[in-house]
Amino acid sequence: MDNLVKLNYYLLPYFQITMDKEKIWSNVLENLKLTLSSANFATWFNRTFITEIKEIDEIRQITEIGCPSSFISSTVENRYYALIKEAIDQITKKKNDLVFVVKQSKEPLNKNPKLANEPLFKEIKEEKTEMENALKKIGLKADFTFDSFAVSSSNQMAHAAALAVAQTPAKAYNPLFLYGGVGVGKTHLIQAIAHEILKKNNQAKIIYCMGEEFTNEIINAIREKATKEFKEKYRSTHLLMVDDIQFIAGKNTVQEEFFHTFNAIWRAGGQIVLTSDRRPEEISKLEDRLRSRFEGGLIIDIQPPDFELRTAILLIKAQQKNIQLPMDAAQLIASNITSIRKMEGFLTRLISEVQTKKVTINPDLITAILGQTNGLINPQKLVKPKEVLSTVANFYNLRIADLTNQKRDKKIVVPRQISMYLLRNDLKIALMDIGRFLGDRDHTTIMHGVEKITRLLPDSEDLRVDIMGIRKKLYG
Amino acid sequence: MKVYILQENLTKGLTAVNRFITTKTQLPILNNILIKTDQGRLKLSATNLETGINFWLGAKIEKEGEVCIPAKTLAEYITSLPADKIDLEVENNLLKIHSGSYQAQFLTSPSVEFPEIPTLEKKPEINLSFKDLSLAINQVAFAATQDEGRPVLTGVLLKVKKQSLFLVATDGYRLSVKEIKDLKEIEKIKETEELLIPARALIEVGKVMSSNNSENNLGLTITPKNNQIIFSNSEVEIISRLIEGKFPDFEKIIPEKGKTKIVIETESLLQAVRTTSIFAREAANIIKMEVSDSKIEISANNPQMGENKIKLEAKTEGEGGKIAFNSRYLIDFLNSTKSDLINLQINDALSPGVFSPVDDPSYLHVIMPIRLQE
Repeated sequence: MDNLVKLNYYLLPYFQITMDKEKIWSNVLENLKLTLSSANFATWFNRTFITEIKEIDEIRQITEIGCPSSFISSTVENRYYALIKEAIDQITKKKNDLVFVVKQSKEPLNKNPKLANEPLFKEIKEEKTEMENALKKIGLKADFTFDSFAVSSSNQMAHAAALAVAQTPAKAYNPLFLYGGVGVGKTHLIQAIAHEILKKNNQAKIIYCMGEEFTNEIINAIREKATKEFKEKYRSTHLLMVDDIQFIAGKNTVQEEFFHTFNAIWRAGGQIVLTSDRRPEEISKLEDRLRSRFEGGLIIDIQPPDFELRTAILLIKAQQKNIQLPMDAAQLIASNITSIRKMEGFLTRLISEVQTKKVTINPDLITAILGQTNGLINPQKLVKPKEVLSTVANFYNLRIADLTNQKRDKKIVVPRQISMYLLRNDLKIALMDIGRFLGDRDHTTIMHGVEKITRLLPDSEDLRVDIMGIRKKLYG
Repeated sequence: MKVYILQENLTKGLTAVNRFITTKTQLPILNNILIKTDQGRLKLSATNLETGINFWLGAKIEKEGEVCIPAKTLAEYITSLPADKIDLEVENNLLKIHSGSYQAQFLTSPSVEFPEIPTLEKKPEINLSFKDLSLAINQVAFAATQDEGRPVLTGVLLKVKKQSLFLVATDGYRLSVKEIKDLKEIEKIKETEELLIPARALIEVGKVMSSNNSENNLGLTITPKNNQIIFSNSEVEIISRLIEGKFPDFEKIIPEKGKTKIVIETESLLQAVRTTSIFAREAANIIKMEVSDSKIEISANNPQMGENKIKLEAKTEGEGGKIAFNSRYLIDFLNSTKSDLINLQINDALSPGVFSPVDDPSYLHVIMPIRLQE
């Protein structure tokens, strides 16, 4: 409150002067209107104003009057000096010396921002917003483009096929059928196709939906007796993309409608892109005629990303989020988290950590967060600590007793530390408990073990493969 | 005042000066021209308070004086007189005109009412070639907007870079840039300075000064204090106010390189655009261009009328593509160049097309395409 009062105190004189200038001049103009003919007044005094008042002493001041052109200023000065001076003197109760300058009033200048509406000055941004609108209408994510798609051996086939489809829709591969597990980038790829096509023609008719949305829309259409609109909407599209098509399996009416939609688009020269979590022949309760249609196009699987690809993806995501992620940090994360979605979650977590605590990203910070978040993301299956031990022991052809006794053979030490790592990270067991569990070891030993594996992971492909294998056995 | 002058001289002067009279004014004196004897010559002056002109004519002066006469009627009367010697004489408040058997008396207005028109007191600061400037004006000024609501765009930007003078104008849909090179004296204008001259004034400079084409030298004087610029030669001074405001950054607007380059005959393109535009007239003047290998197809259609197509031979380079322009803009540009061939560079249907004459790289014209709904 105090500050506000102070501010007012400082600003007050300023306001008074600026307001006064306008007030004085409008009074002068009123005064002149009485003595001049309206034509003279409108011609000479339109758009004139006081630009500045300089006080010389208590009784004298210099008033500067702005006129829009030199023709006007010279005429006004020669002809109306006395009139204006008299009026100003009377209003300000001071002796004024008048100075005339050529200056355009600020009014028209304020209109300049209008320029932004002219197409030539619209920057490419404008195009982008239009693109964004198109994306939004279809329901695409703005950052799912080919540019942001990292390619390695596990998905290069799928990437090439998608690119071909985007460049020559309906000619290259029709339909294109992509399948793969969760988080391998199916959705990213097909959205990238739509992106590319929109980039060329943002009026292109594109439908992107989930298998389930398609189902729901049919049900709604039937219920609201709007099947005609539904058919028109779907069958006139240039590009139909259905994500997770397996959801329509086992639903007869839906499959039939999809069959006809498929045929209509295909015949009209439209492109169809589908994704699923498994091959068409493995989708149970899928009608044969649909299955054979799907098999008529190109079927490509996308494998789960390997370590290198995960690192690349992580770096891309970090760049999108505008953070500097050092290579070693990215590798550390990619080696400890296998799922892309988890990685993204981790990145978000990392960013908030960095921003709130104002620290820089370094391996230590990442190890610390890894310890916390991995616990938050539960393993799919409930696993008992004992199972971890037996699986690790089995994996390395050891006995469980080898892991819990005090021997320090090299061939035992690493599996033992892997057990610690898994128990700590996956099962989220307290360090003390792990120590007790592994033959009464001190909790610092466990901490050391977990850290060692975490640190080793980015550099050792063998270790990564081993841990992945163990996890697979554990969680299925 | 008593003056003898040749009818053709007076006609020339009156036509030029008349261009500066607006009909819109509320003040009757601004419909008048001021005729004044000035150091052995007769000076005609007119102003619309934005721009003004002083025009000197050779005449035999017997008695000095000055007088204000309604511009329109005087010009009309003098023009219709036979080519002969004219006597002008002011008596009381009448201007008496004798020419052979023709005789007239005009009522005059007091010349003190007439606004003072600035005049050069010394030699002009900068001398340019009028031919160069006039060409540049013809290539640039038409691109400025007529819309007074956007004052900055009603002007032509004069900007100096080293020894080059750039003239730029845009209305937001098209942009013209012309460079006049190798002007030594132009360095007197600072590179940071942006002079915005009303396009209308500049067009008048081109027209009035070319009508007395006895000389090629054009003087340029800028008085920042009065915010005005004076164009002058030995017979004419044109005074214009400068527009205040910030001209948009035109360099950013010009696309760097086009994906598709086309070289085409100016005349055949102009002819094609004119013909095609018959069909485009009712449909917002939209004409389409489709560029393919060594060909440009120009077409327009109107759902109520029909459509037409013209195929033109052209040198093409790049992937080709479709783009649509306002035919009026194309015609304006094509009329502004004397080059036989023009370059056209386009990127895609939504990015501006860049036009330039093949034999004159100093002239560049950018036109924003029209977005078509497919």
